[in-house]
Amino acid sequence: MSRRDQKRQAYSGLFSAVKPAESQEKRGDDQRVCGTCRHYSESAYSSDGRGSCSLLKMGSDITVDPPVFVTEGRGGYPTKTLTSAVHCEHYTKMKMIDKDGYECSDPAFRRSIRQLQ
Amino acid sequence: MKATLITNIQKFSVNDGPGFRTTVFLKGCLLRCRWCHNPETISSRQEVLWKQRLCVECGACYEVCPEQAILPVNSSENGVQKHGIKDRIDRSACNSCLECVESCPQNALVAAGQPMTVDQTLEEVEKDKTFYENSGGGLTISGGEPTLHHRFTLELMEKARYNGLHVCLDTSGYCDSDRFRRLTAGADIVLFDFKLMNSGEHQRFTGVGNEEILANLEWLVYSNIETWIRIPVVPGVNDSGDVHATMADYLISLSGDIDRVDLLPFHNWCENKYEWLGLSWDFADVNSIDPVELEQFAEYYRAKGIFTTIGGSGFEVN
Amino acid sequence: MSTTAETIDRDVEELEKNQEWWWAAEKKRSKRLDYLRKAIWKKGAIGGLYAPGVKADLERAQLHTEKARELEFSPDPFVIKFAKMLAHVLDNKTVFITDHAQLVGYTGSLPHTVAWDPSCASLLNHEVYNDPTAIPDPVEENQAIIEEIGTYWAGKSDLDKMMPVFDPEDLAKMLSGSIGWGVPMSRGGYSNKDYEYIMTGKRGFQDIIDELDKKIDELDEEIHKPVANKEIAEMVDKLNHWEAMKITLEAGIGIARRYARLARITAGELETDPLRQQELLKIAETCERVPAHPPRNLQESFQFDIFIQMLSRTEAIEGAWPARPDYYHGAYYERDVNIDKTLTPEEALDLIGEFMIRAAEVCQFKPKWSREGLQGIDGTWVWTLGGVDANGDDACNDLTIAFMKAARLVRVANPTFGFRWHPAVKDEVMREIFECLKQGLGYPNLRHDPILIANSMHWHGHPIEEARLWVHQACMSPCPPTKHGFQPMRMANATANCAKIIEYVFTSGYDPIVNMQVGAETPDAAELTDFEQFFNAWVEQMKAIFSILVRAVNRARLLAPSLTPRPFLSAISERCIESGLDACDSTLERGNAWITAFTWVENIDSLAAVKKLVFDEKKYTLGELKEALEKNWEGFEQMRLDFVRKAPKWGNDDDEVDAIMVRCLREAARFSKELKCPSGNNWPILPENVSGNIHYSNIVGALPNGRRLGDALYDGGISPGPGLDKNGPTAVLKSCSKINHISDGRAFLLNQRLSPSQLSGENGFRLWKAYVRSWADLGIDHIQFNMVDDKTLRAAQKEPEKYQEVIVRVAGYSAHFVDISRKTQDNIIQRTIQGLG
Repeated sequence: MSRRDQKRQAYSGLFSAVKPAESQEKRGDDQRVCGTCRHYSESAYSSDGRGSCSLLKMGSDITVDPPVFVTEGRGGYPTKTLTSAVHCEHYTKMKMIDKDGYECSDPAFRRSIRQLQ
Repeated sequence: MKATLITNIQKFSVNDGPGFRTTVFLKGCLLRCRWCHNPETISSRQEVLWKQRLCVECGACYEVCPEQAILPVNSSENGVQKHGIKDRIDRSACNSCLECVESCPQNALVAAGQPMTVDQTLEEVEKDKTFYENSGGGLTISGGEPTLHHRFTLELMEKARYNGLHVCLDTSGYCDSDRFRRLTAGADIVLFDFKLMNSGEHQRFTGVGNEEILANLEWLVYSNIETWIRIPVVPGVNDSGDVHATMADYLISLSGDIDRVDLLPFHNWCENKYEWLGLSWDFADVNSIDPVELEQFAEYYRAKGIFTTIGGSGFEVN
Repeated sequence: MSTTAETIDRDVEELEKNQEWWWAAEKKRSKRLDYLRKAIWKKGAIGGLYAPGVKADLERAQLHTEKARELEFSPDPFVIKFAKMLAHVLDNKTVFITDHAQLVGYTGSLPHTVAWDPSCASLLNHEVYNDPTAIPDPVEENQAIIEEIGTYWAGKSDLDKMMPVFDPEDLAKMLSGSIGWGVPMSRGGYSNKDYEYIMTGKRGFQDIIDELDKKIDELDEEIHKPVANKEIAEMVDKLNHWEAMKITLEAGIGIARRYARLARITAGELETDPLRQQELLKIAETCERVPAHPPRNLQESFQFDIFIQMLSRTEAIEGAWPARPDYYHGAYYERDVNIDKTLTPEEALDLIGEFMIRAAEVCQFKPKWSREGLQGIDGTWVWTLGGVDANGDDACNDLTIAFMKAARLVRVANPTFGFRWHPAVKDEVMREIFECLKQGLGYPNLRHDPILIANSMHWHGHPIEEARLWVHQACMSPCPPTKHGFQPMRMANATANCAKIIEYVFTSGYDPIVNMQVGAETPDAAELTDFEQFFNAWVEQMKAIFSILVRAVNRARLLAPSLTPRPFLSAISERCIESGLDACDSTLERGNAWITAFTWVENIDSLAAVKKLVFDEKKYTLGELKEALEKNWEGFEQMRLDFVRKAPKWGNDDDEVDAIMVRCLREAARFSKELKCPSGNNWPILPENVSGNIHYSNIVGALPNGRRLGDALYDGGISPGPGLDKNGPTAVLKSCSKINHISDGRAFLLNQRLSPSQLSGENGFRLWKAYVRSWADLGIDHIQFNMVDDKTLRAAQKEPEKYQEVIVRVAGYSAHFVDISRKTQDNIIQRTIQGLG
């Protein structure tokens, strides 16, 4: 594989065309999603629920059972705010401001509310 | 080149003579005006300001003080009680070595007064030349009392004017007459502080009588040196109509024109400065005067045909 | 004088004395303007969300989509299909006339709607779908419609077409949102226009159509001669473009006629007030005249302008509003008000005020990161006033003054004015500017005309007659509105989050927030041994970041004419009418590109701190600093305070720090000449922020100026960090003057605050004028004065050290505003508010 191919593969998570209904995934009562984890970083750009993990690296996959954890290497594992973290042993709940988690998990409000401080 | 203690070189001063000015505050004054708003300029020695609000009581200053002039942290009284003011420093023991200032991580200890030479001062002042040129502004030498450091002041004025700067001298007028005449000859405008007519009253409130001061004023007016008379209006001191009626009459009686009178309303913004110096202040609980209240006093001077302002703005139109 | 008028005058005086400018304006303006002003729906998003009641407009999206479906199998080339889609929207969208209005034209279907173009970006369509507040009722039903529309355009939108065009590595870095801000697309940025062609009264749309008909027929003959070659093969494209241009012009005339018809029907059948009937008939007459034919009076001129803007915003998302309204409408004002006297000055003010209101209400649905960066406004509508004409003579006229009067009456947040100051500007104009600032409008900001004309000629080689005609293309950058001078596609994408430059020096280009390699792989910061090495690493990161952004924009620009053409913009541009090429074709443009540099000053303060504390005083090592930054200063608070307090800051007339600023700019300027746009011209940088400092505060990590992740970033441009300018406003200007504003960069934003106490009365005017003359003498290209009102000052009581320059000065007083007690703060602020200096 050429270096260019490698890079393309690494970045592929960022480019998938997301249909509108897809970005509005089912919100369960389960709060254990990437969006409420301390290691999650929301995409600075698209505000459509994309983001990445700063602990898990490229190659990880927490949506499968058993999950794949890659902690070495460059490049954060691309994931989404509402991706379920049920299988993720590295999940660490972030400090919430509201008790219902509203501030953190709803992409529409997460960043803008923080910035209005 | 001998250095003198300067407490502040303040840019964008718009009330200390015409236009935009830089005001140089020299440390040291012979008067003891009770309302003084620059108490850090009264003593000619370097002093230490202690800002209680910033102090985190880490004790670093206590560790380094060679004179044991600093009270330790958690001492039973938390500082020397002087006139009810808390002060970390025993002023009588302090020798102004400034070790404590160096040691403080919170900048809660600050030196009042830095030694600067005439050349260093002038270099700083000249930075704003463009502003002076566009507004008829320049350098104002103030303090404290600039005539107290007469050699420094004279040299600064001469060099400044040689470099094309407009110079104002802000003085109380309490100065030997020969020296006064020499110094004011070097100024474009003299900002002359005028407080009270009655010498006894004057002594009571400022620590000195006013004969010398009035003599110097009379000489200025007679010699046609441009003079702006600055009258600080202080509650309980000279805030009555009679006082200003008398002063206006007096000014008009002098042989020569009065260029301008500036009535300056008392303010109490300097309260913290007293605390930082560990001094009490007679006017701590006195409210600032609303400039609007001075309109009635201004009338006395205007009625005599004297151009009068409230506040002394450098952009007044006559 | 009637008692009512007296009462109003007294009330106004009282309100103005208390600086209640909004209420005073309410009483002063005409009933018509009052109504129209209050009828605006506030469209600027706050915190990224639109105000309650403001809804996305589904109508346009549906019309556009239905026509796109219809044309899917049409044999037309894309540019003609696109023109037909636009025409379909314009032929069928709802038109309305606001009560009491004299001007018509709006981007949405109803006043409370935000225009949504679904063909621009699928990303945008997701946002509409997911925006809980902006979907009109009934929500479920409409969400289904939005989903359907979004599904149709998935894979077909401009952005989808553009994505494959970029190098995937560059694209990934851009899309991470760490270093850039914007999308490289011709329909998602903003365009300047060839005003010299379309707004000088020489032609209307019909004249252009007639000319196009001729050219089309001539070329049609040409391509059917009995021969074939490359030139003829290219000619077919020209025909297609011209046809598309014609379609848009005809649609423009068409929608104007629809407004005219609506006006006539309303006047004839619905309106009972005879005065209003007359007004409606006037509207009808106006819309029958323009844009088909050139305007004859002020109302027609404004209406012509509005139609052009509306049509342009139907074709593309426009994030700015380049305009020179006093210059292009001034002759009509002169004729109507001064010569023919068909309008009184008050009636003219009604028109001018309404013209501003029509601009203020414009809104196009934009992505959230864009709204966050633009807090409260839909875009930066900076209208250019003043300046000189092509000969260099003063161009200020009565309309210049009237615009400023109107601005004080309507008090809209957008448009704002950028005034081109030059030494021959008359006092009466300066007074108007001063009055606007005093009344808290925050504009006009001042631009140094001679400096910027020279700047334009230096960076982009515009000839002087064109440079002299410059308008603000967005908020800051000059661009001539001329045949080869105007830039059709300013992609906001070439906007760099410069704080990342210094951040990446410590991470060797790895971005810890978005978790990927973005910058250059510079050596481990802990191993660098002197300041020169450190600075070189900084330069490497600067070059890497700027290159990524510019490469992407260049790619988009090259392909824009074929992938995302702009037939309407082309239709009103001389070079396109002449050549048959699309407005975005870089072979026709001289080039006027620039890189907007957000978060620039953080670099200067950081470099200065590293130089002093690490290399000069050797108090800390780079290794220690790197660790502290990695940990976001946690456990390193004492060290952090050192980097905050014991390092010199920009804006204090400190030669050492200022030299670093100049050095950084000159490195960037040198590099700017290596970067080339597709027209072959330079890419200078422009430090400024809009509200980018808010948007980026959670994206930029800890920095050596003592900043932690999440802390507010500086205001922007070359303004010093808040509270870090400790030597007063003159020292800030002195620092800024060490930069050469002609050749060290494109332009440099500078914000300063003024207080009522400084600006009161005639004294205040003299003070301000002297200050402005000093600013001009110092060769600074920009200054924006923000008046601090008492509400802000009361908020400032928490941190008065950040408001030092606005605190009232007192005679003979050696001022301290830092570390003072609350009681003293109150006293000082009270006096500052009182406004007597």
